[in-house]
Amino acid sequence: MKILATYNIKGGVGKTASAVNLAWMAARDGIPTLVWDLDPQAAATYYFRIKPKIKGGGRGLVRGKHALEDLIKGTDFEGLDLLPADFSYRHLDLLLDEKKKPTRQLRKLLKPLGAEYGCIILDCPPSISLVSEAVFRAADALLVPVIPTTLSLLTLQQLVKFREDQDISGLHILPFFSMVDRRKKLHQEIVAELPRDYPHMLLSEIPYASEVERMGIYRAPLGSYATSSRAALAYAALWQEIRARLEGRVAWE
Amino acid sequence: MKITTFHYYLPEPPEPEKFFGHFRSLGRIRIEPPAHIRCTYFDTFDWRLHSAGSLLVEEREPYATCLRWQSLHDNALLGQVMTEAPRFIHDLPTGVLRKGIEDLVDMRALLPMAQVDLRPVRAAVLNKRGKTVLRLVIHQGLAGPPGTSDQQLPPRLHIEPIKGYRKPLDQALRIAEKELTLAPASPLLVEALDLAGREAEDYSGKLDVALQPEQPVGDALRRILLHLLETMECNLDGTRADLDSEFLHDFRVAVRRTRSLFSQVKGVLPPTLLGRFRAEFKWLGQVTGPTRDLDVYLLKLPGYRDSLPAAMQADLAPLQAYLEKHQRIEQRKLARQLGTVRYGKLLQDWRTFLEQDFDAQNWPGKALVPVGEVANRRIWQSYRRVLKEGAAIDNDSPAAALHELRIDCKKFRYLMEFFQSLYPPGKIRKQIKALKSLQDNLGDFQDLEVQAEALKGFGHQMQAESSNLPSETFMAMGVLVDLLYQRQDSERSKFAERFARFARPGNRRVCKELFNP
Repeated sequence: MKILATYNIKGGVGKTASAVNLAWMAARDGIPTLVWDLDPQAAATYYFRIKPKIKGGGRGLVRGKHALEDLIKGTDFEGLDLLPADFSYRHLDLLLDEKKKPTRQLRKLLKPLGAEYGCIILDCPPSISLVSEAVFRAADALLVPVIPTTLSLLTLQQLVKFREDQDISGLHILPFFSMVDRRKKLHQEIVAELPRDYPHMLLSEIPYASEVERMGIYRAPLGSYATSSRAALAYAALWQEIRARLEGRVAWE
Repeated sequence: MKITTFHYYLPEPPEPEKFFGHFRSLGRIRIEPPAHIRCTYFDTFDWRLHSAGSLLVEEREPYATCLRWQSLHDNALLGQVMTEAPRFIHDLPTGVLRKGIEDLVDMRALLPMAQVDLRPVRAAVLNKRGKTVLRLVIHQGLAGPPGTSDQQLPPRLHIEPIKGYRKPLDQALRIAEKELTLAPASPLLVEALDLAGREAEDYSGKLDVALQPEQPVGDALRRILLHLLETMECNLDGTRADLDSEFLHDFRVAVRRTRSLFSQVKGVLPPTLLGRFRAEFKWLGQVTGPTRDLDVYLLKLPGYRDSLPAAMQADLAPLQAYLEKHQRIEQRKLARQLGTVRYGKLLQDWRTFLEQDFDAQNWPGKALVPVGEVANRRIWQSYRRVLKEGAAIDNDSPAAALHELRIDCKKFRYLMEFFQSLYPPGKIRKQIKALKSLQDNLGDFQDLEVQAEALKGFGHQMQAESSNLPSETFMAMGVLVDLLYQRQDSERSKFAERFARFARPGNRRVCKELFNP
């Protein structure tokens, strides 16, 4: 089982769209996949038309009242399941903090699912908090959508530094460009330059596209209704890059 | 994700819209346009996937083909690839599916077992968010052997639950069972195999003939030999067509076991018959040998390649080409031999003899002894011989002594296998396993040398056949020969420990208890 997390300190960068679309592609490739919507805004849950509520809320979950397995919902797509968001996740920090070794909790919770899923994708809330730290300890790799703007670069640097400061050496950080608008000169420049600083970044870039925004209307992964759209093809290419790393054909970093 | 699909027979072909109307109380029902899928079920000739509790199905739709590996027990998807079924597993792209079954399937070809042409009508039950909470599928279509689905499949309903949505499932099951009183159906695979005239796991290369201890040994032998004959017959077509190398392998094992029975249990078969069949089966062993030898080298080639330094691995390509070419030539000869009148007559006459009911008048007096007695005596003798020979081997013994022991171990093994049904299954299997570990060691010790010598021979022949082969190839083969001899040495050094384990007092006690006459 490999655990990936779509993460950025900044919000509105395309985390959830990436989580949902990549998970759909993993499942289509025959890898049993689970998305855990950790964001109380519940956007991933919304995309799958599932009720953003879990039995016992975040508290029951952290305290182990219900097995994770029993809270999982099947999506409309074969091989793709969801652990829904719950509004109580906004206090997940506090709940984790009640436990011993709070940053180890997510990994511990996810462990029993290894037998059933080949890939787990955590869709994380923005910000840097105890929850994100627990995610860093649980995940094999962070998929970091980066809008080619100066501010986004800054947050990426913060993230890399945080990993060093906290000494989370087992965690790979894989940035990729998201919401790229090739008409903007700044976007073009950053897209050209950043790979020099991050030679291991994923090369497929996700364009700024209205199809992605329309996922909120269709409430389904792009690949399921707009297979050959530009954005869907971009996600497919991105998934191929990630898959090569999951299967050990390409080094992570 | 691991949720069982529920199957029911429908009394008559339904009108989909009307039929799904029965489930209206569950929520909004969205009926999808009818589809057409050709499902072909694949397995190896000896049903390796089925006996491991899984199935492999190629689903062909007008615009997409998908290969799915599923659990037999609950239909859960274990892996899928968007491709046709390959003949060999190593032709599949790497991924979950290939990784999951490659060790199981190994060198065996994936063969189509049955085919179903389905016209499914799917319906999704939606909740108020428009989320699918249950799937209903009406299946109608034709089934039969691969390539000719011409039998009507009884119409069926599949109820496919979605994880986390228990209530709609319970309601649907209640409607199907209580209101519509539908009868549960067998899984589609079972139905398809049935209509194709097949039964899952109808072939296994294992030998286990049910015998009674007081049965006359002549009759017992007749039954074992008949089983071996059937194994040869089962594998004949696959051997002639060279579907994969295991057909010939199983065929040859059956021939070898037959010959071994001739010599291991003496004085039982009518002597007039024995003379002819002994010679004929020897011939069969000989004509099938060269192809098998080349098959073995081709199977070993990937391992050879991996054992070389990376820079030399590509240098073995001419060896592979040489082996493939000669395998094709020998295979053609073999196929011809197995199509001759001589072969046909051998099998036919042998069958005629074996199918006659056991009649004491036509058999020598020794054939009337109870098989239990003969089995005990022969296995015990054979076991003692292995022990004695093995104990006499020390670090200075010549290789010939180990070769001799190997042959006697094989005899011992065959005897245990012929008569295993006379003994408690757990105990006899344990003995066979204990022997196998020793046999592997002895087998490797001898085979590694044989392989090294064969490689030298191939080298000479390759040179003779083609003058412009790169010298790198011969260098790589030389390195390989060296490695094989090194490995042979290491097998030799393991012998004492393996034999000691085989001959340990606990094992001796069990053997004595089982076989001592």
